[in-house]
Amino acid sequence: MANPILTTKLFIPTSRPNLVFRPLLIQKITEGLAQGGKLTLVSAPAGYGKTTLITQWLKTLDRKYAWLSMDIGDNNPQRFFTYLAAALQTIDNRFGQVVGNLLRSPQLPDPDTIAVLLINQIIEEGKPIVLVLDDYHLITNEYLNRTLEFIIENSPDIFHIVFVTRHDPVLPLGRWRGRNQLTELRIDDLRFTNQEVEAFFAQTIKISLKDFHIYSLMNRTEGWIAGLQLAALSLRGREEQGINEFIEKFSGSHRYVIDFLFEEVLRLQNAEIKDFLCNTAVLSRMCATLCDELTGRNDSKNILISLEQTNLFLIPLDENRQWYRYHHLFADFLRTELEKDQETSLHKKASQWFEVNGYKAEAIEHSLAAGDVDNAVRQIKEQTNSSLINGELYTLIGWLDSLPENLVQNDSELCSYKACAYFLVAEIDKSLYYINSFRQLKKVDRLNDGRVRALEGWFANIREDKRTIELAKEAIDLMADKDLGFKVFALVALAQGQRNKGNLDESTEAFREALEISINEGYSLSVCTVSMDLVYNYYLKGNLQEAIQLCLDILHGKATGNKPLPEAGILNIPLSLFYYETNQLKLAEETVHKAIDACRRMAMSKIFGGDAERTLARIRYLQGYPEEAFTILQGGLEGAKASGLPIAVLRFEATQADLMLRLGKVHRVEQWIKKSGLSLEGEITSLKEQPYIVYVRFLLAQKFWTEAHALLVKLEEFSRRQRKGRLISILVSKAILNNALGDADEAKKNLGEAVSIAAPQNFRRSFLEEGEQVWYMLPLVQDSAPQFVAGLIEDFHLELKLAPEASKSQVVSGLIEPLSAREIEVLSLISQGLSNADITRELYISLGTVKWHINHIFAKLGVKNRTQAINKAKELELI
Amino acid sequence: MTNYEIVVQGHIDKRRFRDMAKIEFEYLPNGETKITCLQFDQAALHAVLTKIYDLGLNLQSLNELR
Repeated sequence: MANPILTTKLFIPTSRPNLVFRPLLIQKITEGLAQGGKLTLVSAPAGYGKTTLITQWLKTLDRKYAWLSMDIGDNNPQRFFTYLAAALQTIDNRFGQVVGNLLRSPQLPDPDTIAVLLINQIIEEGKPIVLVLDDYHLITNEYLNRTLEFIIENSPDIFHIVFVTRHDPVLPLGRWRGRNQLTELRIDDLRFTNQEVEAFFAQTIKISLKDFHIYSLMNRTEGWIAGLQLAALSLRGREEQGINEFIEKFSGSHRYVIDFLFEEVLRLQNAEIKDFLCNTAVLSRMCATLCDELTGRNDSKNILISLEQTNLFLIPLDENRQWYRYHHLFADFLRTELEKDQETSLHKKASQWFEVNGYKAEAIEHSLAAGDVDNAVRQIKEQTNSSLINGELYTLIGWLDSLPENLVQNDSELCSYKACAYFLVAEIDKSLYYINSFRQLKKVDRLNDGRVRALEGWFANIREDKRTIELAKEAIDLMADKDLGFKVFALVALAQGQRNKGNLDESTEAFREALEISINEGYSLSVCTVSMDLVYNYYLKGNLQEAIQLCLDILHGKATGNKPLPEAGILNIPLSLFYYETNQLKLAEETVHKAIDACRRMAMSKIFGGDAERTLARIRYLQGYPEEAFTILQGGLEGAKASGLPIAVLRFEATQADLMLRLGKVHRVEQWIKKSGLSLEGEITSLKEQPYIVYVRFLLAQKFWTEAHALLVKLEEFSRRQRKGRLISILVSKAILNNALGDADEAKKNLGEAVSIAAPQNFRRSFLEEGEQVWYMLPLVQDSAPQFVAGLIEDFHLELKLAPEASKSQVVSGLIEPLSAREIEVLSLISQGLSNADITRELYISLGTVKWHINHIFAKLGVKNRTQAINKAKELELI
Repeated sequence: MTNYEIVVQGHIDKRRFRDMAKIEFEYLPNGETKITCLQFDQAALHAVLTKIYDLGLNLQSLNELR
């Protein structure tokens, strides 16, 4: 993080010694907490003693607590969570580590991810914690509200959040109120009562007021504490006569309470102090040297101390009394005493001081407040690189949005910043808009040109646009390592583009570089996502063992300085697929559950869940639960459809079709292929390769030899170059084809090559998935890798639930003609208990045709009646 | 763009609203202030309402002027 943690934000405001203690309100909060309430809401306008009440309450509390004061900059989620972690760290050091790693990724994690990690840590700690979020009304960011909602919904009862706010937060308060999880203190609860007013004046200014004084003050202020405090300042030191006069004047005035009272207070100050107050009123926080700068004095330190002592609405922000701020109502009042041009010039001076002293963000805020656009633009430009690299995105967007739009549109630097910042907060439309604006302008510098190119490459990649590789390469060249976060983006786009074109070596090289940068720079989420891509490349290249090893190295932290990353669990996704490939189904199943857990824990199932779900479905299918397999796939398919990614939908459908094919539901598969967009003329890409392999299996099952051959030629061409891992399935399919066509030599050659690639790396499912015909051929290639082939034959035995010695008879039974699609359809209707007449209606065929199909089915299955047919069909998993 | 009439309790110093364009103030004898917002869009109107809330003023009424 570029900006150090401001400890002032974690500082619990000191309450003055002579405050009115409010036992009833404190009891109300305590009771809510004791009854397992998850949150307390203190919601009222300024000056009702909200913060004071909570600081008093905390002193009575027997739990650990943390305090965090919001400011506008906290709408930047990364900043918010950095401070939240820092606040919780004051309770336990481990909280910081949980969040810290995540925030250093170039892309913001899913909102729930951080929340889930925090909740897990809270559960692990097991100790009750109270977190106070002061001035929460300053938070308007939807992302943060959603994250907090998630935290409140999912955290255990031992975690309690107190919102101190001027406006009700945009959270489902009604729901929590209904569940009795919410304790509320609102304006009517917070108004001072008569007794409290009496106590307040007795304690603060040692005046005992008469009943009618109290009545008048209550009537005029309606228990508004800020008003009463101001009145106290004016009443201090007055005799009875003076008190009467003041009360009379106050009651008789129609003026807004605060205006009246501040004016009274200010009237009591000498001219010097008045000037000091007005000249420093533009500051949202101040220290002595800054005040010296704005007032031209050199004794601001003493003035600040005396102002605090006289209770003049000056609030210390730290224990060292270095930083202060005015009460918001007071500052606003003081500013009205300034002329407009005075105010502007003070903002400019403040901006200068903040800039020179290294407080860049405040310098920009004051330039913007002064309407000093030239300086604001210069300061924003100087600050942007660090904002982008450190992920201070919402702050950056806030600044950029305050600049006049026509100015932005004519400044290539500003356009590129907006394009990048909006991209990083996933506002894709706005990002594209500013990319377009950027491209309209002539004068562009290389770094920004490179960043925009990286974005263009990234967009091209998700659209499978051919220009991806070119754009990504240009981006990398232009940026020249000046922004490594964006370089990772460009490298990932480049690598995926290369992979999709079949250039696996180039793709792997780019992923390796992206991984190296991510490890060195501590982009922990990128380390894990890039590794996922990389191991997948290894797998496609045929280096299954290397792929498994890298998964384990990331999972165990071996690849990242012996420190497992919090997101490493997602590597279980590819790992389960690899264990599945080696036919270690039990291990694969354990791993896939870990993968799904990891995705849920990180709330990332939307992004990565697909692969894990497909692996799980295949495992369950093999374990004898085809229905469950289809349910899992259906769920995944619906999710993919909702996400709007056509390629994700296609991959789910292909897996469904593959399993249906094995169940003999050829007809359904045929329907899918017709609408899938797959065709014999279609282009093979990395993402579409698996669906096309399913297509080939369908063609082989249907005995469409010519078509199968044509498609296999294309698939082989695509995989032959660099995708040896995928070549195995393709060669096995070729062997089946050649065998069927009577070319036993060629079939043996194909299978032999497949075995020679697979054996050293232990690829097994690539054979087993192709069905029992492979089994019959395997003995022919046993010599090339005797142990491996023997193992495979054994796997086939187990999978087909047959005894090893049945091998020969099975070859014979394999010659029996398989059931046609129509016959399987009829068979499945029979199994549902439909009569012949029902079947004629269902399938729109004549009774004679139904009988004819049934005779064929009985003959092929070697059975005599319907019951036997159903049993046999179930045994063979035909229905 | 619409005109609005806002009534708040107490006579408020109009300098508090000087950053906002086209606002007229009328101090009523009953102690209320009538604030007339001329040609305001929703965003500008909300800024005034936020300011009123932040000052702790009691909002009595808000009407669209036709």
